[in-house]
Amino acid sequence: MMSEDEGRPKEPEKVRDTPSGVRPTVIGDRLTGDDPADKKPARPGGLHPTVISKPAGSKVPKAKQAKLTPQASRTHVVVAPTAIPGTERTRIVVTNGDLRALSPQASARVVDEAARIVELFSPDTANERQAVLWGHDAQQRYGEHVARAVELSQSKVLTRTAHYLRRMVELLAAIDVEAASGAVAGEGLLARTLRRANARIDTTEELERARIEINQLVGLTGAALEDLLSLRQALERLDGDIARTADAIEASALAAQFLSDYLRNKREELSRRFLERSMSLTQSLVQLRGSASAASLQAEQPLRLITAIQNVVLVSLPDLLGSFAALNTLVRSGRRPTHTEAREIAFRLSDILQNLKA
Amino acid sequence: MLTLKLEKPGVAAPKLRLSLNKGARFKVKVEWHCDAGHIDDVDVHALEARNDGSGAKVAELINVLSTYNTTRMNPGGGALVANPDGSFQTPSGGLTHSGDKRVENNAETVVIDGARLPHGVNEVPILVTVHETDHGHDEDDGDEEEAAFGDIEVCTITLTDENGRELGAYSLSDEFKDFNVVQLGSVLLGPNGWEYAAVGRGFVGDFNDVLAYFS
Repeated sequence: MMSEDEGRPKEPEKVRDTPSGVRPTVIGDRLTGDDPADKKPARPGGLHPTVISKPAGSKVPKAKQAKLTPQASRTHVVVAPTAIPGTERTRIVVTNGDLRALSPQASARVVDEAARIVELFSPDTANERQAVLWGHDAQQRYGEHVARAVELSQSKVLTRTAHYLRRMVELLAAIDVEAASGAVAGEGLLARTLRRANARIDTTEELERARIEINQLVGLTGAALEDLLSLRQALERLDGDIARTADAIEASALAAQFLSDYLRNKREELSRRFLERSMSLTQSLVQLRGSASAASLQAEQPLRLITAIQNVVLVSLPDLLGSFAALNTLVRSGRRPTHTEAREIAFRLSDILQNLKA
Repeated sequence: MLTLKLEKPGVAAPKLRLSLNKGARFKVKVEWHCDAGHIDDVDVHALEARNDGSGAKVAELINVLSTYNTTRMNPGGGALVANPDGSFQTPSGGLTHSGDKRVENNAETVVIDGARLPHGVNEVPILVTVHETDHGHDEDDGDEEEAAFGDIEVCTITLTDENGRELGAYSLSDEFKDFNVVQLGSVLLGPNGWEYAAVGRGFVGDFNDVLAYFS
């Protein structure tokens, strides 16, 4: 059991004398005990300071000590605001729990937003027009997003670049490196003549022509990259806009449902309008969620094109075209590449084709 | 050693208590959008007031944060000096105004810094007013009605805390469409430090009516 002395301020400690003999009041244990001033006897007749020690075992959290508000200690505490005379607009008291009870699956973000919308609603001034237009802005935005999605999916840069890539694949798939470089041994005159007439690129001349055209396509595709990146950004932005609009529509629908219930016994007609709006907004939400996945798919197409251009067309393909040019020079100078050299180029061509088709 | 118990039965020694909250910061933003040729001037105001239990009162003009109270707008009687960018503040720095904006599609803000409000100030009433500057009519048109928030297509006022959380908001153009003065609420020095309390009252008058009530 605690004695009467415990927890009580300890006997005053000695601190340095001031010229007047008056000493400050100190809270807490002194940290230093070997200060010579501490050992100095108090001046006769001088006033001693009161030193309060912390009660044993008591701990004051550091953060709290640092957060003292000077005003709060000296100023009258106000519990209610001073309201100027006038017409008051009341607010509906709503909790997130009230809203969650109406829509258990709604995300916290949607419930927060719905609560905010309800809190902004003024039952004193609410009218039918307000109910009819409830969430209308968000629905309108949804319509704009759909139009924008169609516009972006029909973008010229997308169709043009897709065409370039298709033509590249067509040409590359037709190339027979070994035949075009003459690496196939023992071929007769007839076979060589027939090769010129088929659809394959299997002669030196055809390979050279194909190389020139592919090189042109590489240039055109590279030039379209910036537009394609802009398109991709626009599609990603649209994706984000659609998600935000979906949240706004869902929150408006939830708020309308709550207000319909709230007004049921007070303003029946208005309550019905809010119920209608809630249903209409929910329907929009279902459509929007469906189109959101379509928009995500649309965003993937330019993404695939950009990947193909950046990783294949602008990196691997120029190197392959360089090999074709070298091959052509070699054949023109009357030499033939070895079978292994030709196969190596054919392997690289095959890799590139695979990547472009993916 | 003799000791005496100093506590008398039935009398609880009053304990001193302090609010452990730091002076919080609040931001009031009034935004409006209206058509060109229909320029109403919306102003947001705040007062460094003292409330001893009988209502918030302001004794000096230096505690009145209002565009009407700057030396720039009111060289004869304004008490607050505007900065070169148009912003101005009370001498304590507890209230700061972004500056007067008069063109359409604009906003004004007031920042309330609880840590800088002067000793004794325990309530900051926040008000917003609208008055007509130009409705695109002839100047000698004597039949013009007084401006009201309903004249503006969209006019909102919001109060957020330092984390950007919205604590209060009104759609002035909808909820107070017939009025030209609205008290959003007050920032109070409550038992737990500075906090916001909504009021949401409107009337037809001007800023001098506000000053008359709070002084």
